[in-house]
Amino acid sequence: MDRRNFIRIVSQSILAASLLPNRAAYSQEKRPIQFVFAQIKYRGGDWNPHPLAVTPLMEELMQRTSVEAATAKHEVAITDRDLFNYPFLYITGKYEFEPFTAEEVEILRRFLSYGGFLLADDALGQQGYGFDMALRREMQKIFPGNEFKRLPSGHAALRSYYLLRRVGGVRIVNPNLEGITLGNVTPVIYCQNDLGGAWERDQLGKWTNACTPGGEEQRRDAFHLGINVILYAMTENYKDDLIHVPFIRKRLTRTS
Amino acid sequence: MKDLYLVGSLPWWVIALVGLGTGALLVQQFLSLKQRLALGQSSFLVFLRTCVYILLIFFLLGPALVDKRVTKLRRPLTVLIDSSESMAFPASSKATQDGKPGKSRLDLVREKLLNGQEPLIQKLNRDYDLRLYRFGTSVEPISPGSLSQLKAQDEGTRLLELLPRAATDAGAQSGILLFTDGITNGDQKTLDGTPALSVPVFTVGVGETEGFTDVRIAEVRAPEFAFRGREFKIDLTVQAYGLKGKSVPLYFNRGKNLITSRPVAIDSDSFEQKITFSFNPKELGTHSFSLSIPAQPGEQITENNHKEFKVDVHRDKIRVLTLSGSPAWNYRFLRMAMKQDPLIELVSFVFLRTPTDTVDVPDNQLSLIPFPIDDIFLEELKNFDVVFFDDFSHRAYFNPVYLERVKDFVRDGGGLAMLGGFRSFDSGGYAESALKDVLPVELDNKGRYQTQATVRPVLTASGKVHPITRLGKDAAAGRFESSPRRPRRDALVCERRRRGHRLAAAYHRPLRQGPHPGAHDR
Repeated sequence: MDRRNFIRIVSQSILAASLLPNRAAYSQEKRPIQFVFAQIKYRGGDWNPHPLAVTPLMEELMQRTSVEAATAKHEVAITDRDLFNYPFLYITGKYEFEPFTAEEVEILRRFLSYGGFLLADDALGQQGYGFDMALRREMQKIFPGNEFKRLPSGHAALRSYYLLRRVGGVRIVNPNLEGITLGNVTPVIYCQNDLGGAWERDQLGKWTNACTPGGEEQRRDAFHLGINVILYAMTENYKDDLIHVPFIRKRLTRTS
Repeated sequence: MKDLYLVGSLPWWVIALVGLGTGALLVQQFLSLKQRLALGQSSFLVFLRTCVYILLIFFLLGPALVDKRVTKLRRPLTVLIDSSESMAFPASSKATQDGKPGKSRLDLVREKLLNGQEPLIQKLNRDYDLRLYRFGTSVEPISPGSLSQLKAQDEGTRLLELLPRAATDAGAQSGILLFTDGITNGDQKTLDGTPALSVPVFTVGVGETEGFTDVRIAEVRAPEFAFRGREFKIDLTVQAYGLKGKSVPLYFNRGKNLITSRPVAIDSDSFEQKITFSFNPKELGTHSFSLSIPAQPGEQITENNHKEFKVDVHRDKIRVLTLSGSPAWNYRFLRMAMKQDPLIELVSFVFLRTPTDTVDVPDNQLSLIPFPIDDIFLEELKNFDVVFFDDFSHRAYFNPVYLERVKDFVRDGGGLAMLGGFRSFDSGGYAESALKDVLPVELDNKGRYQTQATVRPVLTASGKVHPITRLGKDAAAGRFESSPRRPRRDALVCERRRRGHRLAAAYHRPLRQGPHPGAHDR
């Protein structure tokens, strides 16, 4: 085989491979999407500090779990009419954003009180400044008197798929998750470690941000947490059901 | 007897003055007449006038004639005769000469009241306003004539409950004559604490306690219904007479099966002990229980050694099993709704990972648990009321043979709901499964699950009134409450409803091929 034939065969092979139905795409076509990652667009600040963060997480979600998800995120404003079609919302940013209007506050209160879920992610990682300050201010307006509290290590969100002991992200600003709990459910979970930055890849597939100090293990923790939070949103306190408790306890005992 | 009374209102001195005036007038008239007429004629006329004046004065006095008729009223007397079963016991423990038991206690009462030249009952009837009653668990009036036919057949004696009522009904100035053997088994054990009786009670005791032996189960208190898996208690009282120093076994049975037994040590001649049994029912339905004590030597009545009662065992909650093919909002909101309802007990399994999904950590770092197929389908299924197949296909997880159990469960009255999704109906492979016989729709076995058309489900007439689809105000208008504005694009494809099933909702295909089924009811 001369060099020209070799190049032709390789080129044809590459072309043929590109035409074959991708397994994920095939299943995407055949199977209905069960989960859409919707990100809130707000006024002021920077609502989209990691524009490419969601797709890697969704690919990871579909590879690891039975959830069929849309790989692209859906951007939504709080006042959009179809907000309630997206029970999972993600809000992130670096800087302080404009206060929500009274209408927006009321919409979010209804959304979160009747089964919606919000994952908040601080991309700046500065407690008491920028996004962190604005988020706490707005959540206080939505749920007056119900502040963010640290989620206990046994919270269902930390057991909904992986048995998590660490909270990942680009930097470990807060080793714990915080949340606002209404009754038995936690409709708002807040991570201050810039999860989106840990999920994000550039167009060439390289990680956009290095995770410090834990490196790739810390990034893996961020993906695990993202998957856990999504499954928590979709299954509520399923892992707190009695049937799971002895299994989980046994596994935690063995691995500790 | 008639008496004349003067009831005039004029004072006596006025009457006296009138009398004196009349006398003076008559004297004056006699003297006047004597000058004109003969003495005889004058006297006659004055006599007549005197009569007239006396009559007038008499009427001035206000005469009244009172007719007195005296009737002697008899004092009321209430006679109560105990007609409970214990009155059929022999009045004496000693047998007659021919070895047969002697007269019963009731016979003795009858003899006392009916025998003799002038029977006591007649005497009482003559001297008193006699009110004759028999009593046991209730009081009923009887006539003196029916006394000879009175039978001891009441199943208990609520003497202490009935006596105050009889005293109240007897009225004032009356009395109660009570014939009883003194055995009471009502709720009340003493009259202490009750108001004093308003009439005197004269008790005539019949029978004797010496030599009488009996053990009885009294006062069984058991709930009419209980909940499966929750212990309930049965309180009972064991009473015994004449068995001091003995120990008798007490058996607690369900049907013919012995649940437990315990010895009862009798430490006095008039023995009473409260005993409590507890039982944890595992099966639903009506269960017959019995408490029994074997007949003791010399015991005259053994019918009271045995008590039966029934307890209906219910589920305390509606038990729901959901099997979800994957985490989905379907499951989340179904779970939220069920968890908020205190009458629903939810057991759910969500398949978080399919066999083709790979994980990047060892299994022991996952919270996944093995699906307990045998426990669910072979043992526990019967304990559920409803099973949800929520976008769930059995194919990846277990042998379709297990679906036979689900079919049996449905045929035995269990509920089955199959919620749409690509793992439901025929894409879940149910067209060739055991469930095809119990699903309310016919599946085409083409593996289709979804139409791309935009459809709007509309409730049928049946659906508008069906409890499942009658969700709210919009249901009356033929639309689903959950999606009043948005048409659904993810409708499942089912060929047609199964014959004999009611159609609750339907949508129309764009090609106008007729209605397609949504939800059904048998």
